[in-house]
Amino acid sequence: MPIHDLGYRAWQGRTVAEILRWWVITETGIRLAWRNRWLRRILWFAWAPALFIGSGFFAYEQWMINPAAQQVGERIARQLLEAAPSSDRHEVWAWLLMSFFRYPQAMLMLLIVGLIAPPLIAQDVRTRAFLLYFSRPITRIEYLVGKLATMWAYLALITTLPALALYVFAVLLSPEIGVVVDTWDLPIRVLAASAVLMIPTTTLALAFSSLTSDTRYAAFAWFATWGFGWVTYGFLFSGVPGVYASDNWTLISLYHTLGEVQTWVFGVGQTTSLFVSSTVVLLGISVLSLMVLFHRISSPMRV
Amino acid sequence: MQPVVRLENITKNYNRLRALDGVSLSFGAGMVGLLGPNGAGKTTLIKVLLGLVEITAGSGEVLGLKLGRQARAIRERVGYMAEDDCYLAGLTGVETVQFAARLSGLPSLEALRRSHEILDFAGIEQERYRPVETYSHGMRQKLRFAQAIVHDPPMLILDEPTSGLDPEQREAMLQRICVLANRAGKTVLLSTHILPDVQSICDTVIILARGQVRVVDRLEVLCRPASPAYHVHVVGSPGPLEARIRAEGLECRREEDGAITVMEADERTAQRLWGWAREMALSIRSLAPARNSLEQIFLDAIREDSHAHS
Repeated sequence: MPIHDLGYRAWQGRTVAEILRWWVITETGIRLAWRNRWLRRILWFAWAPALFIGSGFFAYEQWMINPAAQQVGERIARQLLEAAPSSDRHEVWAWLLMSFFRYPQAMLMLLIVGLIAPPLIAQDVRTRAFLLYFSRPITRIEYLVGKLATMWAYLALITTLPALALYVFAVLLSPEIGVVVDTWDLPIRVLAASAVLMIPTTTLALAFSSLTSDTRYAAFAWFATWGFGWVTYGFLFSGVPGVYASDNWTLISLYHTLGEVQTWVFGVGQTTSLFVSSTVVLLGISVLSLMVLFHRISSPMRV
Repeated sequence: MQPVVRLENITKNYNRLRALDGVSLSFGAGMVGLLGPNGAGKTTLIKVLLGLVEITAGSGEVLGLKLGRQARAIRERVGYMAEDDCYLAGLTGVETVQFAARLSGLPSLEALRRSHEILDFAGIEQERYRPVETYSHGMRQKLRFAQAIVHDPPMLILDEPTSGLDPEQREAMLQRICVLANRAGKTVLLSTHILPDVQSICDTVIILARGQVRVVDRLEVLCRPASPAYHVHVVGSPGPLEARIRAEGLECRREEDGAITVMEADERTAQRLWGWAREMALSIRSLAPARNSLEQIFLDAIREDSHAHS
């Protein structure tokens, strides 16, 4: 024993509140995920689309107040959107924010979850870490919340935070602060759209992770689910002669299903009958994934 | 004395398999050895104590807390050292212990300080800064031990803490356990296959077989033979002395190590043995009151079990 060894000493101190124990799992998960160089690179890149959308807000506000810019703006809008830009600020802002969620950030979400989620439970299965967790005052719900919140933190960093920052940026660009009255609901819609994006995707990715001890299989399952949906959707709606698909086939693609619900959340365009079935599919994925997760994390204790 | 663990008629079924069958036992503070052959139900009993599995029937208390209903509070006060490896991939030794401490509720900085303190006690030096994946078996044993005690629980459940350790490390581990029990006043439940470990440090023994408690008593009581007896070792062949003992009307048996166990001994037996040895010009190497070995007690309990099921 080293000379400074004082033997065993008792510990007397105050423990932190039980309600915060899941945060230990989240914090450790965030720290471990941050060691991935590719994740850090993607995160740096993740705010680039916000700059692009931000320039959209800037252009729109210029169009609203500057007559010279109106002609240019209208010409560009007609070419891109085949319609004149709306003078309804709420509609345009909502559309810009929805576009931010729907296109660049959905792709980045796919990559980030594909990097973070696979090892989250698969490695615990491989290293039998369940005993380390559950022999402590941690419940299975806290364990799951801790793991899910690890992904939520990163996803919020690339979706919720930049979207809220965009909204603040747009308000600051506006001619008067009164625009807040017109658009007060948009931050709430951003939070709702974040929840729509995060909950089904992260529970599904974590369920894949819980089904194996090899992270590669979990990653493959995640990307294959998206890829298969995309390719099938593309094929069915490609207009190839002899291939006809009803709108309900949209549900085969997770990406397009998410898009339907996010479109409704932002109140952009018309709500179709697909919104209800898309919501049911996303809820079904979330509930089924949670059931798989509870079963899988309980099973090591049953042996 | 208030029992630390009290179980009444605990039954645990895994589908059709009955892992624990009406287990009733109670023990107080001190060091308790939990023995049993493979599949006896030791691991299930430990999981029941920690509230990791729901019991099918029965009731019980650990440290005055009800099984099942107060499982979380029990896990707060019990440190568990698992037999198998369990760690978080990617963390260093000190980070792993800090993580365990934080899960038990220690604040982050305090958990780090306490982890270093406990790693010193567990005998992990600079290796604490290496990833756990690179640790040897012995180092991982020490790390799991450190994880179990980092939050200073009043009760410890140690599952095979010395298996796979070299003799020096095994001795050191047993010393640490003794320090925890004797100086820090912790109750230690030691589940092991290594009987000498139990014999050397435990004061109470529980033997499980086929999910039932076969033996639960203080080691001192268990090792006492049913009737007073003496162990005699002589220099040279014990045959003549054995014959003389029988000729004098005493019952005796020859042990595997060459010793003679004289049964039904009274206060005069030792004196008579010395006398007969002198008369026969034999040198007695040792003469001591006989004690049942733990191995014998264990084997008897297991045999009882196999006879009952044959």
